[in-house]
Amino acid sequence: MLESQTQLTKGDPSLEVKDLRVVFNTYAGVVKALDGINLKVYRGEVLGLVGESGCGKSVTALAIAGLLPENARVLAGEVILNGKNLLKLSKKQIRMARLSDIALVFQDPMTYLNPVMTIGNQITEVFAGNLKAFRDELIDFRLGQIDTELGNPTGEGQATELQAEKDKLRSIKSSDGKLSRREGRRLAKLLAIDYLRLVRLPEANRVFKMYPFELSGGMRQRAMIAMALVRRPKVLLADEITTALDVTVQAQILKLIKDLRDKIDSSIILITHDLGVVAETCDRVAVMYAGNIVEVADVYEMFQNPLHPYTKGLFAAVPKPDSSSTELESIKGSVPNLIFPPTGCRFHPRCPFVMDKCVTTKPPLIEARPNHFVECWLY
Amino acid sequence: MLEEREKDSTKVDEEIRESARKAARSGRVAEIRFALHLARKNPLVLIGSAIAVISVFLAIFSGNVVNPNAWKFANLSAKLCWNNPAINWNLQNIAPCPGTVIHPLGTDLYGRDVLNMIVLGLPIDLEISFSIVLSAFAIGIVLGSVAAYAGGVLDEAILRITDIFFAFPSLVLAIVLLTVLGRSLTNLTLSVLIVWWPLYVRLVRSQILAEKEKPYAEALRATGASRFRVLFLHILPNSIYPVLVQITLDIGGVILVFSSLMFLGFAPSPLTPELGKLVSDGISFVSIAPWLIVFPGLTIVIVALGFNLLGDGIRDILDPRLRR
Amino acid sequence: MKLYEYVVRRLILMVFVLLAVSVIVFYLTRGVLPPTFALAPYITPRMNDPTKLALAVGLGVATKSCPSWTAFGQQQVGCVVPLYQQYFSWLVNALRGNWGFSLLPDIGSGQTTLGLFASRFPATAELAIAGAILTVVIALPMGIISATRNNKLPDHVSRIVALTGYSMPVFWLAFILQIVFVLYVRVNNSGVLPSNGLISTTCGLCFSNVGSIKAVTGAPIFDSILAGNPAYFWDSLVALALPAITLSFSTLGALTRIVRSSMMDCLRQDYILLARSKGLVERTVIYRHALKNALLPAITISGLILAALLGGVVVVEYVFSWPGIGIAALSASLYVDINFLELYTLITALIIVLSNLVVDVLYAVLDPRIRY
Repeated sequence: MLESQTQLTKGDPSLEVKDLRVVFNTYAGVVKALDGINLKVYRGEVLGLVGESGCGKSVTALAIAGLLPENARVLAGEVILNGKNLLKLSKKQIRMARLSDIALVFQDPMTYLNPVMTIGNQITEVFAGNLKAFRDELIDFRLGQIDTELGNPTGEGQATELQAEKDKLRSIKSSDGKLSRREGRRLAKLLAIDYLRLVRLPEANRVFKMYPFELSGGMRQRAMIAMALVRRPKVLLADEITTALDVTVQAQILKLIKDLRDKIDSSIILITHDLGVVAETCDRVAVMYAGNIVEVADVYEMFQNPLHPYTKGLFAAVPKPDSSSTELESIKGSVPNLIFPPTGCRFHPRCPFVMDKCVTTKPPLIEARPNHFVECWLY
Repeated sequence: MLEEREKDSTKVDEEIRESARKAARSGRVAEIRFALHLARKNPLVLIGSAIAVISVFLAIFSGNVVNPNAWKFANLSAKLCWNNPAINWNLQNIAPCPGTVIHPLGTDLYGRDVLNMIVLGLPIDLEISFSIVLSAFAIGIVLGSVAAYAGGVLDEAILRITDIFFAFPSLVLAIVLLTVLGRSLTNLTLSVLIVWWPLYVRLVRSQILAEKEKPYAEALRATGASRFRVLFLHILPNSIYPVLVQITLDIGGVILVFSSLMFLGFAPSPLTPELGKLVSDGISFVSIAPWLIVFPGLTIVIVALGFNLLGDGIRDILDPRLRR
Repeated sequence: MKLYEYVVRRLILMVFVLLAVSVIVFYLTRGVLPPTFALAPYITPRMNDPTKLALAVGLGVATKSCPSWTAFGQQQVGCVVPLYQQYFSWLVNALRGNWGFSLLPDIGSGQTTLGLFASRFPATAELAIAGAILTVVIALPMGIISATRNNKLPDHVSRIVALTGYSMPVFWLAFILQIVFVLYVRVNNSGVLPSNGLISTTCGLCFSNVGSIKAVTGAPIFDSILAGNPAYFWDSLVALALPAITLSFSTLGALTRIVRSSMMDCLRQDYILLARSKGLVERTVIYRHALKNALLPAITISGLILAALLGGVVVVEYVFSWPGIGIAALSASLYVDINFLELYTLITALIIVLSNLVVDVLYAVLDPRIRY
């Protein structure tokens, strides 16, 4: 079988989630949303997080970024990024982590973008308050840009200007000086426009000045992606970013993600309920059910050899246009109520292979095949 | 094999039913817990409702609590006096009351017990308030429905008329009306109503317009229900909630405007024990009998507060966004 | 549509509304009262009956064929011009500035209606502006704090304050403040704040010797600044304190509630989550993202708040003997000075409609979605 490419780039995971348990206090009761999640994301890969609505995918993303709502409690677990446990950081530290290490992109770009601020403002505001932290990044970017332009100068005058700017920026950097607010704003704008081009928005200069409602859905989504990438995060969490878009736009965005994956250094966690998206874009995939990660494997491996009964059911449920049967296959039963979740393995009420052990004890995550992990007593 | 599958499916069905039952129970539990939570978070709402209910009862039964003719009789030997030991005004020139009868809130210029006057005055304010608000509501439903359903020129015309009336601050038009029409309780009611009705027309109209577009309204029409049926049996009851909130809040608001008018001197008769009028009667005696101003006004504050709290509470309970 | 097209359309609408207001007021007054009332402001005591009749004809109220003043007074058939025609004559006169003489014996003696109005207007303007400023300055921060510290102590406190302000009759609050600050809190045997008038030299906090200033605008606060007289400025400020606080208390309740609820709405929005996820400081999230959106409904309500202020001004002026147009209107009601009441209503309506226009334009400026 084909060896997945990501096998070769593995090293230490850039993000690791260990045994994360999250509950929500609601009027109806305590919702046990995450029941001990274990996840590893490696540098430069796209990890798909797949599952039905309500299985806890978005909760996972919010928990990693520390953005859970007020009625949520993290009961146990660790989220390790850069060697630090994000759950134990102070408010300021978490904020700094969100600034430069973790970025989120959400589902509906219409409601997630501030309607009364221009796209450009929403991208550059991150730099405005944090010039010290981003000084080097801004300067390096501009120096790189100047070098490219110097390779193709439009005239003698411009070349001298650029050289002067280059020297000034170099001196600020070497003397550990400060970027003035005006200068910082200017550099941030250039960086933002560069990223708008990176996400393939036409006329990036104009888009910079536009308001969200002036753009189409696909363009808004690209702008949100640019907003996330401009901070060069180590981990990018994309929560159902294509769900609100048409199929054709969806395809464009997915292609963009794939191309970006090659260009930038970040790990991407792509949360979706669409198996097709996973098949097309991801390197590895994790399947979630009712607050548990039930199976993790490389994409090809997963599709060739699904191990967990739920995964098998998922794949079987995908309608195949060329199949001879006229009935749609589905998984028996329905998603459990997470206030009163099933005991033991949460999938046991619907599992065609259920055993007595499944009702009493939750199965551990084991490596059933090389680099293919599953939580099931069958293995 | 088939029996096994059937057995499995009944087992699954049973589990589904069990979890559905649990969910329904937890749903009901959720409702109760939510209501209790709101009540706990907002004890003021309960206080407000209590105040509102008590004042309405007091108003209805005021004749049984206090002699309804007490405002006609003067007791000049006990005028402008205070003998309630609980409050010490600490001012010069406060006259103590003769005799042993305690006047808990003092007496006025004619020796009438202020508490009696307040109890007699409350029904007037509440009655007129209710009638103004309910009339505005009635006008609002009629014109609002007409505007929402007729659309076009009629709708536009009604909207423009409400615009015009919105340009009048409430007291100004009332003053003009009372000047030319003379002072009577009817004219007072009319002059406040004339400024109050546009709000209800707008409110009802916008609610109906919103409900009309909803899928259930279309579905009802598709089944052949007549427009009137749809309107009265379905749309109006569904649009009523924000209007209800507004009504409750407005009862407090109208009391304030109405008593202000009476305070300013537009009372029909010089002896009416209306709360605003009682305050204005006390102005000249503010340094020797401040209770004439403080207590009638305080009653207005308490009643208005009660209805405002009640309206706020209803709004919080009905606000779908607060539900989690 | 473009911004200026929008403004022009609104201005035309405004004129229409004002005309409609004038028609309503006209019919309310002239339609109910006998026509002699309408003429009272124009009649000077030395006029004899034929002159009065000629005046009535000139003003378009009596027909030329009316035989005598008495006949007109009895409203004999054929003597009184139909109401709608009277309206047009009235409109022409009004626009020309001919509003007759004031019927108010004390404050208006010898003055034209317009003149009386103009002389009293600055005091009301001073009071209304002070009230409006106080309202905004107090309500905005209170609403924001209430929303951001939802359900904690500052929220409860500000909600109670807002609610009580909302539920208090203006006249009662005025007296309570007077009772407290004039009767009880005393300095040197007089109340710490003055109880009435534009300026007082006898209150506890007042200077006793302030000199005099030239009345340029008629509002002592501005005039004292123009005259460079700090003692006068202070005394007039102190005199303004109680009336302005009274006036603002009720509207600040309403504004606080709106700011609070719209801030809470905004803070629930998805874009706030994205803003927080970008690593922005909480302060930036609240002020740059939430507040900008939250202010929009608050601004729309300012029109209504101004209307409430203009209504409340009447009561405040009455209680504090503030020499403005409100108190003059009350007097006009007593003496049935129709012209003054009409002028008062029209100008108030004009102010409200104009401010609504300003508010709408402001809204269009702040919310880019409206412009397109």
